[in-house]
Amino acid sequence: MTTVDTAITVLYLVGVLAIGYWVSRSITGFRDYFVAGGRMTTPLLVCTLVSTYYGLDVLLGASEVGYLDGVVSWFWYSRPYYVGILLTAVLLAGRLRSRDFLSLPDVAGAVFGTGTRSVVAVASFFYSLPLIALMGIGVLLDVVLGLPFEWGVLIGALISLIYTLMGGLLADAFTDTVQFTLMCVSLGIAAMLVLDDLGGVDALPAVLPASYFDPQGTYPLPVLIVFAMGALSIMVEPAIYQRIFAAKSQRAVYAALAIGLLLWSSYDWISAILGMAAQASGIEVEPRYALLTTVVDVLPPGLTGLFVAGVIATGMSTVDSYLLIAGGNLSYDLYRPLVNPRIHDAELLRLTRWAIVLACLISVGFALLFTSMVSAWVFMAAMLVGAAFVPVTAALFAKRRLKAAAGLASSLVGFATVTAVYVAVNTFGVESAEWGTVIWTVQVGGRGVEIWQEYAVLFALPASASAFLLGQTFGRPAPPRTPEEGVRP
Amino acid sequence: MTFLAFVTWLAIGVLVFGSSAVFIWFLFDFRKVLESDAPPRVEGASDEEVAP
Repeated sequence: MTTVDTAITVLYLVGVLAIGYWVSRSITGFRDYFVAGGRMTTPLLVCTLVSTYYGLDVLLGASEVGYLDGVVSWFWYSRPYYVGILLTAVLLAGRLRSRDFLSLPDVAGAVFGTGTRSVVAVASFFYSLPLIALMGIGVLLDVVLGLPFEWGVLIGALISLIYTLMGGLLADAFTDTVQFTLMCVSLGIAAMLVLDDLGGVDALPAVLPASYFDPQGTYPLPVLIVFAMGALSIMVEPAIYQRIFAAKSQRAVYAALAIGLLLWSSYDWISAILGMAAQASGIEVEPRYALLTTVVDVLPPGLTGLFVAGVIATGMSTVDSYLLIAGGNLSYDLYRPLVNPRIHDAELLRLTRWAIVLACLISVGFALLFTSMVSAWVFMAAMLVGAAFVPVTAALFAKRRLKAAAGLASSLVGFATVTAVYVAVNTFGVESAEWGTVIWTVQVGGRGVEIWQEYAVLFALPASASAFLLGQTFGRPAPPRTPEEGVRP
Repeated sequence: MTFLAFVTWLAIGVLVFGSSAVFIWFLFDFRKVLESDAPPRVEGASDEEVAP
């Protein structure tokens, strides 16, 4: 990188800190801090939804699959999530906003009580630890600035932590506006230059195999269906829930999700095309970094700095938002109901800031300890779906009175089933170089049946639903809610 | 222009111009966010039913 590129990157980092400080002056209490006082308008929601939910895992993951397999990346890894987003908008947004919820565990807790709230909060906490984003920033600063990986992780964590501590969701969302614009514009410009360098996008079919342009790629259909089921996680996604609660109106949520869909689908398509362009140009690198390498090779000075700032922004916009959610899980969703239900608003706010520091320290520790956390993150996402999907959707849709035992049983059994499947597959299975995952082949009636570790959700959801039905059938009727359970800061 | 090229240029256009348009919209809008009072949320009430 040239001095100009480094200056642009540093300017961006200083800029987000200044925005965080400026916004922090309008924070007056926990509700302001955690859901921006329910004041977020459509453009702010678009920026924070798009940039938060799309992190480095999406940018590098979509381009990696594009590099290895082509447009299947968009059709089967990305497209199912758009369906999930549409379902969330149509089926859930109105229900979520009809009650005074502030977090995902609030939804389960309001119907099933403190036990279910706690299980969902623990799953949400681990899911929200931003390990992949921190590792991505570390790798990026190592590749482009030559900083040691550990320093990159620490710088990314520290800057995100400072402005999140100062201004909560509002500071997070305001910095997201800059980060959103940077990540979208820089990716669009990078795509123009890379494709121009290759002789246009129409040059790709001449170089790449025909399977790269097959929507199904080379994957067996059942595997693709399992991957597509990952989109269920959208319906219990803590960051999307938080933004639905933070919106000024339901109309703002609908508009933001509709505009977000356009931007998300464009972002995924370009990431996949850039991965394919890297393959077509003959670059031989670790597939995950094909996009970064191709783009940095092509961009002129100045634009490289813009792109690097855009990629750091992609990571930091995820780190800040999920640190806030993980901190809120500890203070608002666990400490408050379990230890001090009558906690004062100012004390809850102070405790949440300390909880965010703790979540950040845990994330940095994990990011530095492990060389690859991708499987761990997939595991935590499965854990969240297993523990939260059945109780939360039941809480939102059930018309009859539900029993506490049903919620607690379904969340615990979902949690336990995902853990059991992962432990079993990783104990008895073998690492597949072809598919990049762990597969356990079980002999059933003389035939080998493959169980991928990603199949955990397929086992967890029916188990969780069965436990729910048993709890609803045999559980005791729910006692009247205590006044403390109704207390909101 | 092939369909592949059309879709790709459309996506680039949405990313560059769409995100810029949203950011400009935000610049005209952000004072409303900072200066507005938090709307009260009443259990069971829709947005339209909440008092301004």
